[in-house]
Amino acid sequence: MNENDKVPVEIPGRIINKIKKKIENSEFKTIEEYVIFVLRNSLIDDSAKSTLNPDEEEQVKETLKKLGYL
Amino acid sequence: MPNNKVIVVALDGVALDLVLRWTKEGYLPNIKNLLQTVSYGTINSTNPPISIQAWSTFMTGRGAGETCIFDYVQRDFPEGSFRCPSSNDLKIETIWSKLNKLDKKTGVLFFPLTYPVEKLNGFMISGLLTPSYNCEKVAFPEGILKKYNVDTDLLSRSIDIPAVKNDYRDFLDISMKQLKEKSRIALEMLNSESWDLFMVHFFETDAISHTMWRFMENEGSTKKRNKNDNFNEAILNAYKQCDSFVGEVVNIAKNNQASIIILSDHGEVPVRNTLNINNLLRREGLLNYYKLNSKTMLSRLAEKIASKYKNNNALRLILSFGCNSVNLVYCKLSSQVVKNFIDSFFLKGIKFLPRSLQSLFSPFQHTMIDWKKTQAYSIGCGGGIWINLKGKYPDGIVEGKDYDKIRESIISHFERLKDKEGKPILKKVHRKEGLYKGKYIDCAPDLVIDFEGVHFIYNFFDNSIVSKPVNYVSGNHSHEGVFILKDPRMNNCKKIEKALDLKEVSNIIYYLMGVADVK
Repeated sequence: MNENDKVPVEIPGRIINKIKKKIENSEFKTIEEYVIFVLRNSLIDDSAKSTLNPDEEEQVKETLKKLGYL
Repeated sequence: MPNNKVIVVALDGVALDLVLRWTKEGYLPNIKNLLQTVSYGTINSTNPPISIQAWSTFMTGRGAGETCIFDYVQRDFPEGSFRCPSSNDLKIETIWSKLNKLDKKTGVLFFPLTYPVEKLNGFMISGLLTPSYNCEKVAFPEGILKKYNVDTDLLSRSIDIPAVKNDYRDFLDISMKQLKEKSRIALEMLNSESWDLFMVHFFETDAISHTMWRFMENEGSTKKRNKNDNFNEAILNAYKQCDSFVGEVVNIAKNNQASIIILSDHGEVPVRNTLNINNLLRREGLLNYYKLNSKTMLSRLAEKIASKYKNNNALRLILSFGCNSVNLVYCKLSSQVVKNFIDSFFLKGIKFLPRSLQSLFSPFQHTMIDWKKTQAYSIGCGGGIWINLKGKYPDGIVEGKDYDKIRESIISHFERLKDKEGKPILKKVHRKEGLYKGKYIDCAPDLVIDFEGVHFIYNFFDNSIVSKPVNYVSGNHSHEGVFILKDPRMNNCKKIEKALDLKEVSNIIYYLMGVADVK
C-alpha cells in the first residue's frame, strides 16, 4: 500500500458519538482528523524523548563555552 | 485563502542593512531577483534577542513567558539546579506539531532546541544544543542521516572561538563547510522527501558575524585588508553561500507552487563595550564567590581530563592520577600560610595563561557562588539578572519585601555606567514584568540588561566591569531581524513599513497553508 492511500475503517456508533462530543469547540474539524491524530500519537514511542543526561549536558555546555556563550 | 506549501529559510543573525547593501552591490544576485516580487521588512525580535529565545518564539508563536525558554542556562526551582534546556523544556506546542494534527507533513532541519528530536509526521534533524550528531536522538526517521550521507563528524565539530587569537582560518573553514553541508542536505531533502512545510535553520551566519565583524571595514565594505586572508569578506562569503542556497530554493518552490519565507531572528551590530555583570554585582556586595583555591581548580582540571580523554583509558588514568595526587598533597598540607601562598601563585599564574588553558581550570561560575551571601547573580548570555529570593531557591536570602528595593538599586547601578566620553553604556535595564507575560514568568530573569551594542562576559579570571570588545565577539545581536515573503502570486515588491513581531510569523505560515484558524 502506498503511503498516501487511505482505507475505510468501521467504528461503532457509540464511539463516533463520543468523538463528536469531544471535538466540539476543538481544533479538529472532522471525526477523521481526530481519529488520525489519536492513532498517530498512540503509535509514537515517547521513550526517545528524555532530558539531557550528564554527559550530554557537559557536551552542550562545552560547545556553548567554545562559542563564547558561557 | 491560499493553500500553499511553505519553505522557511532561517538565517541566524542576518542583518537587513547588509542584505540590502550587498544586494545593491550585486553580491547576492538570487536575493536581488527575489526582492523584485516579495514583501519584505524588519522582524522585531525577542528581548533579549538571543537565538534560543527567539527561535523558540518563532517555533511556537508565543513569548518566553509561555515557552519557558529564556536563555542557554536555566535554573530550576525550588531545586536550584542549573542546566541547559532541551526540546523537552519547550512548554508550548510547535508549528510542526499543530500542522501534523491537520495531516500536514513537516520537515524541520537544524533548528535550535530540537534535540532530542521527536517522532513527527515528516522528518527532523536537530540543531544548536545538540551534544553530538553521532547518536540516534538527532534525527527522525531512523536511517535518514545514512540515507542522505550526512557528515555527522563535520556537524559535530566546534572550534573554541575565544581561544583563537587572530588566525580564524580553521573556524571559517569548518563553519563554511558546515553551512554548505547543511545546504546540500536541505536541497536533497526538498527534492526527495514529501513535505507541506519545510524549514531549515543555518546557525553559521551568526557565529561568523560575531567573530568576524571587526574585519569588515566601514561595516559592510569588502575592501581587502590583507591579501593573504579573506577575513574581511568572511561575513559576505557566508551571505553569498546563503544567496546561492536561496537561488536553488526559488526553483524548487516554483515546481511545488510553494511560498518562501526568509527570516532571521535578530540582526547584528558592532559591539561597543564588554560588560561583566557579575563583577559589578560583586563590587556592590550583592554577589559573593567561594574563595577560588588550588583544590577547586585541580578538581576542575581532573574533570576536564576525564571528559576529554574518556575514550583513552591509559592517558586518562595517568593524567587524572597526576592531577589527583597533586591535589591530595595540597589538601594534606597542614600550614594554611603555605596553602595561601600556593593559591596566590596559582591564581596569578593562571591569569597569564592563554584563554584556552585558563578554561581548563575555570569552574562554571554558578558552581562558585556562595548562595548564603548572594542577593543577585547573572548567568547565561542574555544579560539576565536573577534575585536570590528566600523561599524560591535553596539558600535564597532576599526577603520578598526587599525584592523591588534590590531591583531598583541594581537598575540604578547599571544605568549609571558610562564610557570614557561620559555616554551611558547601556540603553536600558528591563524589569521582567515589562517584557514577559504568561504562566512561566517566575522562571524569567528578574531584570534583563538591554543587548544593544554590549557583549556580556563571564570570564572568571577577569576583574573588570566594563572593557573594550573582546577579539572573538566584535559583532553582537540587534533587535531587528529580516523578513522576506515570496508568494507565487506576488508580482511586485512591497516594503512592510511596520516591524513584524517574530511571534506573528507562525500565523503567516498557517495562513499561507490554508489553516489560518489553527489553535
